Amino acid sequence: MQFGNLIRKSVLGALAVGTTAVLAATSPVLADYPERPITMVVGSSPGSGPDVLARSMSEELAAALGQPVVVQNKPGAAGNVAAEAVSRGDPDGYEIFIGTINMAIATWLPAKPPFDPATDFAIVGRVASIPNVVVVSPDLGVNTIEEFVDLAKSKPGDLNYSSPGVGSLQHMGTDAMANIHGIDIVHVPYKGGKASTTAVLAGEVDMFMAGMPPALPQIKAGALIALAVSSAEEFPLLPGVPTLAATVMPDYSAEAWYGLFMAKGTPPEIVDVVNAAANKALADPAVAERFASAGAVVQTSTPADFAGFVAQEAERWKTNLEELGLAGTR
Amino acid sequence: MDVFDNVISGFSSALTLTKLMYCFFGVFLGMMMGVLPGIGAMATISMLLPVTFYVTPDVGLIMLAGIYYGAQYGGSISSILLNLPGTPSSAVICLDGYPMTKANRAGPAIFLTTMASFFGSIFAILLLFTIAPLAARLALSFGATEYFALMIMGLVAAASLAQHGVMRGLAMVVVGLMLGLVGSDVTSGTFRLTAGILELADGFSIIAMAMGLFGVAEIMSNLSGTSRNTTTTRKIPLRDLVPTREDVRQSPGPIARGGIIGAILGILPGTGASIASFVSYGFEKRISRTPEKFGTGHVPGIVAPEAANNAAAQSAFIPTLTLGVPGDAVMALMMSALIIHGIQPGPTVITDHPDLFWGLVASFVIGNLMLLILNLPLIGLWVRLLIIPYRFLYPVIIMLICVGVFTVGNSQFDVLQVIFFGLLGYGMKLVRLEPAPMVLGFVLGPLLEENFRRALILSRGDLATFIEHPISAGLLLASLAIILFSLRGERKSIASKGNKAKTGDA
Repeated sequence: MQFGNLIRKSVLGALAVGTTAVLAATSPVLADYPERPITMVVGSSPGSGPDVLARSMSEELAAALGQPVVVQNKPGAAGNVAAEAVSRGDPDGYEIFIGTINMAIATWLPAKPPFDPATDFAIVGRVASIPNVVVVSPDLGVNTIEEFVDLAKSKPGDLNYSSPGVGSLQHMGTDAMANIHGIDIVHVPYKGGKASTTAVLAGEVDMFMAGMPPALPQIKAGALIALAVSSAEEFPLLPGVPTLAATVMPDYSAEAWYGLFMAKGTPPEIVDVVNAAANKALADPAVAERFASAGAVVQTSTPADFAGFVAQEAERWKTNLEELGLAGTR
Repeated sequence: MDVFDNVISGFSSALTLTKLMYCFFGVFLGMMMGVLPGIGAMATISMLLPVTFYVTPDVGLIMLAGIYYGAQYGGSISSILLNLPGTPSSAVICLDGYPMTKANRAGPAIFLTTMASFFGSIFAILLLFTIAPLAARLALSFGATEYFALMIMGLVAAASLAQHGVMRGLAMVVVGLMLGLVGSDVTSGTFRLTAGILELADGFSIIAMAMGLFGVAEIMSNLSGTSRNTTTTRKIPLRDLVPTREDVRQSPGPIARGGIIGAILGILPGTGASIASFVSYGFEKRISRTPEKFGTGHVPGIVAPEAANNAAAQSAFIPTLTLGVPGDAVMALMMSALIIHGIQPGPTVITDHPDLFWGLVASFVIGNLMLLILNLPLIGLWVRLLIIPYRFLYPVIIMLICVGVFTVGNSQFDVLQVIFFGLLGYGMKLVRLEPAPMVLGFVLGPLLEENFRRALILSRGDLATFIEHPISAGLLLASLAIILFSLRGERKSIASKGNKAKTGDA
């Protein structure tokens, strides 16, 4: 009896939910958005860089949107499994993907994912950027980036550098530096940025153009020396460390960027609501502080600005990978 | 004494009511989730990560750590009772644990693994208190060549996991190695054997593989009646939960050796509890005077790997906290919990936050005591699980496996993998091929290849690098010695038994 009642209730409930969903999908008025919890999809495992950023801002984003924000991890293929799923999802604004620079790079690698970062998403806005930092072990005996370049020139083919994989930002950045100065330095790929950092700590390789999160604590502890940062301006948490642009790579800047993406076809009204909420959340000093301890700098934008930036990045890395002979043939 | 100062400051920091409560909550939840097949520490911790935002970082970390090592306790219980590993690292416990259940000795088996878990953990915690910073140096001295040599040793151990003959065992190791090839190649960045499936870019899921090969395959073979023991497992006398004197006499040596192997492998980033448990099983079988008893419900076959995976779970904290180098995905998750609280895990944690570090280590002792006290009275309850008729038990288990595997990556594809490996495992059972060597081959293969190629890049293609590095040379020599030693043993046993050398010793 009780059970029958329960079933009837659930059926009615399901019907009600179904009807609302249909109404929501067909209704031209989107004023009600959001009316249920929102999922923030992370394309890597809990504890990874994008995951820390997502969790650092999810509370504030929820407050700004007026609905709970649930972080969901869907790791695989450097974030592209999740990116693809979100891109093809329902365009109702209830799934927000925290996308990374990998979307722009991996698109052009031999194993090309079935999406284009610039056209297959509703692009919401930028969240953060994380510059790279060139680190070496104190045992190498260099204290400036110029000294490092000189050392590498004097020992062609002797030095090694690590990276979290072929075609990664860290790999391409070092390769660009080597090209400018005609340096012969050997690339040793590792599984992830943490393993690449450990390789420098252990003295297995000589240099790593590291992402900030794994390198920062080691720099603070004096276990690694920071020679230069890859951003256009100096990194606030590493005062006194020059930029690559100001030293050995004029006009160069490249950073890992993070931004919010939704399914292709999501109405612009919803995109604007989420963009405004995200920018409000990112303006909270507590979020900025959490981002900083993860090595990230808060960045906000309008949807249009970020969409333009993503298209530009996709083009930039495509050219770069083609020069490296890594671009996809598919 | 420094050590005493550490111990005292640790306990004075850990012995507050809040911390005790969170510690208990963590270990209890961890143990329960460890018992449930498929839902491991990773899924549980990521679900509870947001909770840690509302408490101080040390309290949060104590709870998360409790889940992690609590799950190691629980994982072996379902291995023993149902031949169904709760976590991949307890897969090897199935080999001797399940035969003990079939012989109506589930109670003693759980009792012994609980004791092994406890002593294995305590051994590793002693290491943490005494030589944590020193041990962390060891982790850094392991480069590509050393890892390669270590993986070779692991593979040598893998061959001895075989129960139905060496050739079959080796064949399964090779199959495991081949399955490990699937995914993106670290050295070149290209996707290999993924058949264009994006979800396979990171290779097969180890959790799906362990659950499918052991759990689903076991259930299928029981349902189809190919397993000879469908009736015996139904009647478990609830008496005799306590091990015999003989069981207890056999245990200390394997527990000590398992604890040492586990503690050492746990320190090395990237190896972790799964490899530790397999290697210590293989090692125990190698040095045993009665290797033929392994696989039939032999006590050293459960206590050694159980001590090893618990020791590894504790010592995995050493590189994470002292170097900021996480040993596995769960450790990376805990580091992120610290980062969110504004604490940078790294070389300075011990000096900057001594209360946090030593308090955490002290909480390990407390948590393990809680697990011991919690587990012993529960043995009767666990064994009672076997009385549940299969028609209720099996659907529930299958559902739990699917839910558990799904939660790890929120991926339907992983559930499909469970089905694939379930069917494969069932087929293997029909022709008496064993899953354990295959799983070890799968775990070791990618590490072996990655480090081999990396070592050669670093040495500019010179193979001599493997004997020029002393640690690597030592490990390779030891592997060679093991092979030669067992070849001699094999020849002897062939000579004594004629052609019927089916001891499984290699």
